Amino acid sequence: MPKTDPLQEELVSHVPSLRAFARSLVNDASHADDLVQETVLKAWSNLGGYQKGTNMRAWMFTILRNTFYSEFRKRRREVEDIDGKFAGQVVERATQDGIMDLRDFERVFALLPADQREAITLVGASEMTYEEAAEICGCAVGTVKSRVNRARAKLVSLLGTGAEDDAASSQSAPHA
Amino acid sequence: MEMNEDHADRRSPSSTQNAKPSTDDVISNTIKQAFIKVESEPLPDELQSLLEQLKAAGRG
Repeated sequence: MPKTDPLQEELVSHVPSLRAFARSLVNDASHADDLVQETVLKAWSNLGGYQKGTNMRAWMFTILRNTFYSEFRKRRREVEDIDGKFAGQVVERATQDGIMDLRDFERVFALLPADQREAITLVGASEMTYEEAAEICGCAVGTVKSRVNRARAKLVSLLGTGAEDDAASSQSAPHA
Repeated sequence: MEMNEDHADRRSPSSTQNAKPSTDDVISNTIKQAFIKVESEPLPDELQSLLEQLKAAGRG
């Protein structure tokens, strides 16, 4: 029985991570999966161009990101919340283990600009190095660090009352 | 929120301490958790089907 190419096997193994990264770029799950499908097809058909021994996951993330910016940017729908009022309504208390309700968090996370969402997802969640994230995003390492810092600051600003001060949360709402 | 042992092992050490987590820790943990949650979801049928087709073509 013919075996599947190891590179093809590896490509398939990265699809779950690819979906998670896509979800950071596209708020709608079905749109994110469309993006993943297109990325998988592109990666599969260009597997001959992949350099063995390099980071295939980063290579696939790059393809997904390029696909997103070339095809999805004009269609994406951003939720505007300039004054943070919406975010203030969805913030809930952090649980004992330091993780808040994911659906609430995702709604606030969606308020970040796409470049900040992808930067903090690559570095903070998918455990890419700043250098790998910079390569994926096609920018300088310093730019990635700056985007991550801005994303963190924005999230802290939006979620700031959720974890640190029980008393403060009853007296003031977070502002962007 | 339910979380299996494998996921629990991937949380940052700071989240397992007794001290109340900082907002920054909460954000870091939650971003990781959101990513892991999507990673661990079963693939949608359409995507699974596509992968099966590609693998079959690759074997052919």
